[in-house]
Amino acid sequence: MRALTVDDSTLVRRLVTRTLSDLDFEVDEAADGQEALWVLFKKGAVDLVILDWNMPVVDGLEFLKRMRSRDDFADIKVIMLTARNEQQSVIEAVRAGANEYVMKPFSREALEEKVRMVMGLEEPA
Amino acid sequence: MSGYKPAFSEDLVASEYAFFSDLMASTTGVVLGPDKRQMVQTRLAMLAMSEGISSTRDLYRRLKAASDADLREKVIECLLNNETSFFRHRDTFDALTQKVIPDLVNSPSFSGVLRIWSASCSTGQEPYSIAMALRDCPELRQDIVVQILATDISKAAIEQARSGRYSQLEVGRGLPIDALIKQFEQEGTSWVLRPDIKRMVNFQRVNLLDPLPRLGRFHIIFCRNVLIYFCDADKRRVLGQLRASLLPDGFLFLGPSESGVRFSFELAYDKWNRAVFYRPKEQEG
Repeated sequence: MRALTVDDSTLVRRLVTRTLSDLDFEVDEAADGQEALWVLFKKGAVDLVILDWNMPVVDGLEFLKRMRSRDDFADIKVIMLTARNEQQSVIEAVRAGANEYVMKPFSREALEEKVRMVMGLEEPA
Repeated sequence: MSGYKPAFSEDLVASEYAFFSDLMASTTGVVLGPDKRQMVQTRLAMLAMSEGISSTRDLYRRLKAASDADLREKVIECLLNNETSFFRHRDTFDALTQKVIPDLVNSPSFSGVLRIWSASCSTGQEPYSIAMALRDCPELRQDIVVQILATDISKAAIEQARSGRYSQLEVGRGLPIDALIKQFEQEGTSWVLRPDIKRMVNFQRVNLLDPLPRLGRFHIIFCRNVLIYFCDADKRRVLGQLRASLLPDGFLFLGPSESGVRFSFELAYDKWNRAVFYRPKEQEG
């Protein structure tokens, strides 16, 4: 399985990438929505995107809308990982095509649970 | 170098540790093995601090010297494990809505009232997950009456469960995002369950080791990740009570590492996809 971690924080990217690698994902990283689009265009669709919202250049929501407008990226699962914790933001992200939502600050366990949930992976006993 | 230890936390000697573990075992059935020592000391130190008691040893002395029922209850509450999350072990909820409910409500003997018991509900995530799952279950016809009873030994846990109010961290564990949007309202930093889901669940304080109050019998019982804390004799006793509370065509869900058949001859193992459950062995007339 292939995944893309999109976050302008190096620290968050590292944490997310480590979590995904431990779940056997091959992971690419991008620091904003524009770079994330380049990665997708260059390398093709991934299975999963973990997506920050507030980022420079192209933010997470804009990236999500552009990505979802293309048929070849329609099946990519997206988990928003963001400090935006208002109910309205959650609804907006889901309407734009996010499959799941994790609010920062987040725990590794919470992210891992959501990854297993959207990818249909078996839960540990 | 030894780690930093706050003044409240003193290492308990063996007899003191035994006092607290005996207290837990005799009142709740929870066995605190030697591997729990660090957890016990940390939690007791936090309790001592919040109660204005100078140290864990002082806490021990006070409990030992006089029967302070209030303090005793606080000690028990703080040592109980309330770890839980929404839709914990999703396979169980898939089995509930796709196998168990259809089997029960389509059976010719079904009376029209579906009774479910969440026997160790902690802060309410399990019974509310059941309620939310049932809301989305197409097999559950409008005319079926659903009764969900949720019980726990902890007074504090039951109080939080009744409030239906959860932190951002709590709704972040296991709850699918569409359920958060549909079934919760944000109030400040909390997320509160909508009243129609809250109304589906009745809470009651019950100690599974005591003879059960008159709860009636149930089609489905959830008692997950409870037996692992009990000694073998208490496992048998609790399973016996659960078995007696199951209707003849009922289903019992235990935690993934708990066995119903090892400690009860009256239960039969069964599974559906990745979910395991137990059924009463003897078919009653």
